[in-house]
Amino acid sequence: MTRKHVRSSPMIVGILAIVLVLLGLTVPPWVLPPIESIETGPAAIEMVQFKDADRQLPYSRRPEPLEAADNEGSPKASEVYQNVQVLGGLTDAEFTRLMLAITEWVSPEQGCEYCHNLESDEGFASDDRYTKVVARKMLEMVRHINSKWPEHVAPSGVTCYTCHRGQNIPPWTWYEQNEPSSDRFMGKRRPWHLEAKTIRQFFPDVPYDKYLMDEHASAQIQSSDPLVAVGGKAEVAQEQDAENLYLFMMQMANSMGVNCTYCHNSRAFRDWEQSTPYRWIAYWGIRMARDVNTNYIEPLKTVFPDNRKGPLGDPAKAHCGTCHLGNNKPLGGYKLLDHYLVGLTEDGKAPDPGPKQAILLGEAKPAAVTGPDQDAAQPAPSAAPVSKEAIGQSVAPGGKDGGAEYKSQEQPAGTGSEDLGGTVQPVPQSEDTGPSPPPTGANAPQGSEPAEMSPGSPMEPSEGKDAVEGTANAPSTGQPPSNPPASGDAATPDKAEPADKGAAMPEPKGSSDSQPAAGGDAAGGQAAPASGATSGSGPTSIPANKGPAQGTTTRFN
Amino acid sequence: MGSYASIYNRIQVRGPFDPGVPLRHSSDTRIQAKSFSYWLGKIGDPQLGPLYLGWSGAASLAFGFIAIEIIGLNMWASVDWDPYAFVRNLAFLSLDPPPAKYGLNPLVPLGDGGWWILAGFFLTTSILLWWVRSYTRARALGMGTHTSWAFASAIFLYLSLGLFRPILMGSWSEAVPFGIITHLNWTASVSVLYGNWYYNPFHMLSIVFLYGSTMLFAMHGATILAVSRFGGEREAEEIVDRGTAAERGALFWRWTMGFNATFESIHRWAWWFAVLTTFTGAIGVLLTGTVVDNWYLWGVKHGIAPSYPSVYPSFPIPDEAARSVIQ
Repeated sequence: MTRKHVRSSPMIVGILAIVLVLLGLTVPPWVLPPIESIETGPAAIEMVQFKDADRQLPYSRRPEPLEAADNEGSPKASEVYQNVQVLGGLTDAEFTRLMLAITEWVSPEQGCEYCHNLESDEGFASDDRYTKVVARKMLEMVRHINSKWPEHVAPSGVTCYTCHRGQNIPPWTWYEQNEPSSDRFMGKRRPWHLEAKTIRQFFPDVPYDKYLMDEHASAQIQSSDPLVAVGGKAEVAQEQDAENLYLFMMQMANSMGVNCTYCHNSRAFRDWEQSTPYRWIAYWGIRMARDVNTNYIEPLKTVFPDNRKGPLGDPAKAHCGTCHLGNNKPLGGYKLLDHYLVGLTEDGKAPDPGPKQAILLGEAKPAAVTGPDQDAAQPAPSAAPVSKEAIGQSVAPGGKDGGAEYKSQEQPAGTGSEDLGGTVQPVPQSEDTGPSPPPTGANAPQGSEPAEMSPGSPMEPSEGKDAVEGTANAPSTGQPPSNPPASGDAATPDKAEPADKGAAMPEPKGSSDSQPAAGGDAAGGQAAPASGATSGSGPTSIPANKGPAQGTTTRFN
Repeated sequence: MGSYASIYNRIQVRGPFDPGVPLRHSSDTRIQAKSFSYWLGKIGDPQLGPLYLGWSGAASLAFGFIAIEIIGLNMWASVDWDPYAFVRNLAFLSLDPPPAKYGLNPLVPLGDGGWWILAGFFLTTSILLWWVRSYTRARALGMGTHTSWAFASAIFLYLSLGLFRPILMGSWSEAVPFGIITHLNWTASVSVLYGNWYYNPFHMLSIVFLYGSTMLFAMHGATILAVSRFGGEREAEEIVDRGTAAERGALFWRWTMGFNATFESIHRWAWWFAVLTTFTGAIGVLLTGTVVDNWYLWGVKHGIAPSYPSVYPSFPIPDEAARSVIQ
């Protein structure tokens, strides 16, 4: 090989490689650091949410509230206008202000005439346009949500803008679809299969109507027993049901811009006791969507014209993303409703943050403790049926369980639950030792106080936090209600209201007088896991400061 | 030999066409295609052929072609025979097994999973015939049948997923669909459905052997390349007549980790790791739904699932009944 011989192929390959690398660096929409990560579970099990601070969510503009109405001497709207069926009790000034706001939120381009046929003889009172009939029903819906679903929408509540975002039709909705079959690809109308943009759009929407209408499929797809039942009875759902639920849950995660571990410990999705309190909020959210779809949107089927209906003739319905649009709190928790309380709630009060705060701050008592005497209604405790294989693996519950008698220490007690399986019980807590001091420093989860409900999120109700509140922050992270909590909401499982800012702060239970919600006494300790009735892994129901030390492995054998 | 240092061969040995060893017990029906390829020589032997097809190879290719046709045409039909849509959506297209209502009935309407049964039959037949081919060719050459039994282990996993477990469960619907994304969806759903497959100890073993296989492959390949300048690529000779390449390779591993596999035993290590990857995986498949319904709870029961400290205060689990009473 002479020196003059120059090989060209390595140069060509090298240049091509450099071009490819440059294309790869410049063309895709890379997300640049810093990426914020927020843990939602115990340390080192990677229950974590990621947030790109620069990311702009779609439709995230926050409208300014209109100036407060001058209600002085203003007559009732029902006295000024004809055919005011929902908002007749408002003053004319307040009514006009709300109408202007709705126009800005829903039909900023078309204006009043989007709903009102001003050319008809009746003028504003005319119900000629279907949009007006729909708008009336939607007003009722917003008022219903704000007053009856505080578990999900407190404290910010919802307005028309929460879903509409300046559009005539809320940007994210769903229709009923055919089951996927050979003539329709994934149940969707052609030419959808040529227009889908993101990978999400390639998955069918079919599962939504299985879970977001009043008649819904069960989400209990997993078995609560480790082994197959002796009789061979199927305790596990069909694979197709699992896939449907999977797609529905992906819709939830996508809607809120979070992953599975925002609500679940993904190693045991079904287990409430390893779940975060956000699952509780989402649980009521699913039921709220069912309520809204079934009682407010579906009845409008006869009102909507055909071009507003889906392939099966149903109106566009709501799922989680309809309000959330990629944000775990719609519009970042922007409290627009506070400026329109009179018209957009049934009772003029903002949604009661009490139930949600009680959950997040750990003040809620299990229904078994606060409700009527459960012991009286329950049959005498007896040993749960247990398979022979399970004997020897199980642990007898500790403490005073109402004087249950065991034939052997290997038998678990009846917990009043059929599907608990009875094979695994919480590790007994010693009763005579006082609570151990809360872990601090390196022992505390993420260096937080043990009772803190969201590691990495601020606990102090500081006024300045609102300005920098991020999208992935925990909802209601210690922020006291700006409105007085509504009293006597029957839907609230716990009547306890946060007394003031100080009392709303969770304190390490070991150092306070308050009784821990569970585990403090035998009744509470037994009732809490029993009401869960879903878990084979009891110990997570133990309050943090009494639980096993960090990193301790509790064995059941 | 000193230039045996990169991923491709820098030296191409190009001699007269080598027809291969004479066979003792079989008539030689090899296809005597004679050609050399410069580019194949970059990564291996530049000589192409002679090729052997035989009855099992021909039948295997025919059955395999039918299976691919059934799958592909069903997918194409599902996008209304639109070629652009077929290519664009290929990853999401699927040929699904029959729904649960048919149980194990083999006579299912074609559009309702019958095509899946047919495709599965032809694909399975094709794979088994290819196994026969790998066995008979090894015997014809007087070789051992190690390759065939390693292949059989992979076939056992394939059959466990698509045939044995559905039969044990009593329904074709338990089987995996044919489709790129859809079989991944099946995997994810089934893992969650049976309480988190990561707690399945046979899944754990399968992962151990899979990752172990890659590690052994890297260690062995690196060792042989590193001692090739001492003739180390002549592994067979070094097994029986240990030369300096074997000495150096062995000493290297004793220096670095205190123990060395021999030039012979490393191949048994690698073979068993590869075979056990699919074999243990298949056992894990066959136990799911037939013996164990919830692998996470199984893990809790046997003390392999640690509990973590609760970072949240206890909260009541919502009860459907609570609200229905109130409303």
